[in-house]
Amino acid sequence: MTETYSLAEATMKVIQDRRSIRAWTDEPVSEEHLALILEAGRQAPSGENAQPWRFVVVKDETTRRKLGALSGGGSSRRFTAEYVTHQMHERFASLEDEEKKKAAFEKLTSGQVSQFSANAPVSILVCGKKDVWDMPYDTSAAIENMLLMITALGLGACWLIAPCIDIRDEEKTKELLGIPEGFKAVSVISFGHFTKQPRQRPRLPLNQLVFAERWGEAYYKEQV
Amino acid sequence: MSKETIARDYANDLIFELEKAMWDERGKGGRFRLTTLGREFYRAKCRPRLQGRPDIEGIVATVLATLKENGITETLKVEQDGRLLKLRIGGCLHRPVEERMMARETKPFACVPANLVVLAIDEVLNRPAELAELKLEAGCCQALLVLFDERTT
Repeated sequence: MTETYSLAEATMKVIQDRRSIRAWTDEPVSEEHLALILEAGRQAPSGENAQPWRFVVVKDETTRRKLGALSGGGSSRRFTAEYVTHQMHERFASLEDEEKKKAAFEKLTSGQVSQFSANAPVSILVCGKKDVWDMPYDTSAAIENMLLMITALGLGACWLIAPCIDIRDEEKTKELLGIPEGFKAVSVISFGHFTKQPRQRPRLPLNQLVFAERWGEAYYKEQV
Repeated sequence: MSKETIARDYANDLIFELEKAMWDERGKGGRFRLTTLGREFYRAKCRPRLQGRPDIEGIVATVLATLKENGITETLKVEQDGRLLKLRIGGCLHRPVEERMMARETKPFACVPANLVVLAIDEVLNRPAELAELKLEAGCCQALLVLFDERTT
């Protein structure tokens, strides 16, 4: 039976259905779908309509592997630093299952958590022109647009900052993909046909997030 | 490097303001944008002295000698425990920057001497390293580095 939604309901459903998906089948993403995803990015808002985004579509297996290795290396350094300073233990303090905790630590500190680009049928490196006022915000809007279109198409994606967040890794990513000096490598979106849909991660309730007129006074007195 | 100098307070004020601006803009992730801070100095002053393939101790000794000669730090002690490297940096001319960060409730997140050691280990030994923690102690700063295995590619 076909479900029908109002435009608002359909929009909210796509937003709520989006997950960070890191495992895909080998099925390729069609060019029609890819074009829709890129068009969604192109339609994002930008300060002064600067449209600073540029997209590099990566499908080549060798490049994907290198991108996966760069991401894994960056994450491994970052999360191992968190681990040795016990920040990671604090972050996972509520997880009581010691085996699960150990597995999570291993996944994070080894960098496996971010190596998935190597297995994604398609990755898009989102780059931003530096010589505009609002590039990080503009490109983030383009990324979210693309993530939502990927979800609407029944595909799965993960937004990945690991190959770009540390200046050392960003330089290598830029070199790998030939990004010129005037552009920043912002993020990678890896996507394809997913193998399974993970559960939604918890979200803080609105009554903890929204204030009335000034910071501090809850807008909602109870959970909405 | 130019022999002309600028007032130390003036330089540290500027560094503080830039670091604080980075923190205000980028938050905790700001530290990932300062991991190469000091690279020009490294290339000009440290790299030429790192001949051959010195071990960690040799690398730290070379970085320290360079820092001392240039009046940046007085001491740099190293203690290795497996993949952890503890650096104790004494008499650093940038210490007031970190103190001002602390006074503004911002944990210090960038350290040039630690970065120089990381850059040297990476380049000389082909081993990634990461600054995990920076602590201010009486008379010195303690930087905790994590060492990773040599890259295979």
